[in-house]
Amino acid sequence: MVKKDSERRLRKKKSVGVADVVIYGMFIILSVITLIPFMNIISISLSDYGAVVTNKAMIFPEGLNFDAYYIIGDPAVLKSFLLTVMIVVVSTVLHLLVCLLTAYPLSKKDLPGRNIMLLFLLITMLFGGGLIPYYLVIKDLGLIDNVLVHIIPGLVSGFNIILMKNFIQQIPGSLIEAARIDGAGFFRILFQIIAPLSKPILATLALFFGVGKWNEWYTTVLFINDPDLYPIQNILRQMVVEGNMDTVGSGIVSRPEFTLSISIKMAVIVIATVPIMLVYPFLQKHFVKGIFMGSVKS
Amino acid sequence: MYNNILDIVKRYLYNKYSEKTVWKRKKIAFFKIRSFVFAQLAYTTLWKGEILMRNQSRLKAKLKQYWPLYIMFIPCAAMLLVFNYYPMYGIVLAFKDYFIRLGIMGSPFAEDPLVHFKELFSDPYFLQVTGNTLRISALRLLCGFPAPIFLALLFNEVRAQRFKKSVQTILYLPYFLSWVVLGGMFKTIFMNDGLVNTWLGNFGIGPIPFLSDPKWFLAVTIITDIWKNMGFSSIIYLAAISGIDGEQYEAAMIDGADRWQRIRYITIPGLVPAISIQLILSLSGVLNAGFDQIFNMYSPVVYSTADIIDTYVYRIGLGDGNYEIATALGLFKSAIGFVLILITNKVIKKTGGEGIW
Repeated sequence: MVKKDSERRLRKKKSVGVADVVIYGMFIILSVITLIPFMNIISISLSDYGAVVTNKAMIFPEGLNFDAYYIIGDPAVLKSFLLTVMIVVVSTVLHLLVCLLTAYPLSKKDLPGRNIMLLFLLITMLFGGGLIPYYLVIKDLGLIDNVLVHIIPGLVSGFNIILMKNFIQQIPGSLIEAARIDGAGFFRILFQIIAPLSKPILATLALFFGVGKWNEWYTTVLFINDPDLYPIQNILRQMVVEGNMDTVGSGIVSRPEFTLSISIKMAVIVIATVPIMLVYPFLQKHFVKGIFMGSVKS
Repeated sequence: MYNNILDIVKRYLYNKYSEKTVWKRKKIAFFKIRSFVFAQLAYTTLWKGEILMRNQSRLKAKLKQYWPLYIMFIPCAAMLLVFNYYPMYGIVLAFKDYFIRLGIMGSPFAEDPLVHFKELFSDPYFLQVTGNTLRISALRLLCGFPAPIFLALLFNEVRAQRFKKSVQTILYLPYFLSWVVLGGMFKTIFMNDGLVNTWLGNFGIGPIPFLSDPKWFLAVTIITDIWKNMGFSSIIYLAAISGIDGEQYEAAMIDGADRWQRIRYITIPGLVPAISIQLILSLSGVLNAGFDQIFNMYSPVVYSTADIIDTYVYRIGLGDGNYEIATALGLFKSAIGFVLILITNKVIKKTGGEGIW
């Protein structure tokens, strides 16, 4: 604290120039511009029927009204939300597991055949077979209209594996040597030493993968036809992009007559965004650190 | 006397060069060479063979020791084989006539293998769609590529840490939302009696059909794309800036350079590697033009400018079941993207920067 104070005193000696004011002002404007769309959505979802129709609910809600949020109780929305949560959690955990398992062997430079294994991985990152054959493979595996289609194909990500491999290579070899001398097998080393030490990279990857999974809607459009299995993004998509409210609204618990469809739509948007908003601030420091690590090295 | 000497010389010469002795000498030479070669072979086999055997046994020892690691690799290998390598054979679909009953392998090759490509490129609407794609990518690059760089440069000039952190938190947020969410959001904001038009109404500007007019739709697409990605993309440049040697700044300040000179002569040159890599990656994706965003925000009214290659292929390829064209196009795009990466990489290297490899 003392150091900070003296630093602050030193800094105060420099005058705040015009450029500083302009820069700070610009950032404030940018932040406001970024926030306003969100506020518009939230306020429409929270406003009174009358206010929305007459366009009074622009940035702040007029006539606080939580009716639109009864949509949470709608069986379609609720089920979809819980389904999405399950998909994200399960696929993220499994993905991290596969990443660890694959990155560890690749991190050993003297593993015979390691270069071939890396090449095997890299090629898949650059080339693909195209959508149609992929679709046929999924079909032959029975994954059409199956929740697992979100989890199984996405288990491997070459990019993440390489990031993790680089991270593991940075771990001091002495730690692993010590464990080896104590007679630990590879699996034990992986799970009891490397995994705990990899928490930063695991957190970063979990964040990116999890958010990506939560936002994923294209897989469903391609492979799932049963609306009961739609993740929240697709329910939202139906409502907002296609303007189709059929699957929703059949079971709204109370006072449906006075709730505008647009308010409901905004409420669903907010609901679909809430988990990300919750998770985001806590993990901000992790992903910034992760990007710094990744790019400074390369 | 002379006769004797002559005889002796004759006999000597005769013995020396007679056939018998020549043959004897050849025989001896042959045996000498053979024994020499044998000695060499023995040496090689024993010595190098030992190394070879040692390497082989080292290999075997390593395999014996490292076998759990191979087990660890199995899940990944299995996944890649099933979902990545196996579908690669499907590329041939671009050259065949697909009959669902026969599957990909069973379907016959088209009479003219390139018929689907020719179909595609001679379709005038396809050319328009390609033009749209290129136009949107060009606009994205022009407006959207410099924005994160400027942002990073300005972030670097902010000294108040808490202000910086808060602004960063706000600006990074849109990146994490899906275009489904954002599409819905912007449809609401840009609609005829939405936020933007109401605000414009305060200045007497009539309601602008942002999402239904082809030209305005382009503007909205680019602006919202920048809005979403600008903050997050700046992180890469911030990381690059933090990697610049602090001593250069100190030296510059001692020499009396002001803020803008420091930016121009130290920060920007320091960013050139990061900029090159991002540029290479962006240029290789020039045929992509943001399917996710456009698909969630477009409508038939704006097809004339907003229909890009991917959306068109989605409708005719998957919608109408024209699998061959869809595959042909995918192949085409991959090839072009690959070539673009190579070209851009070479160009950047030639102009002094560092490429990706």
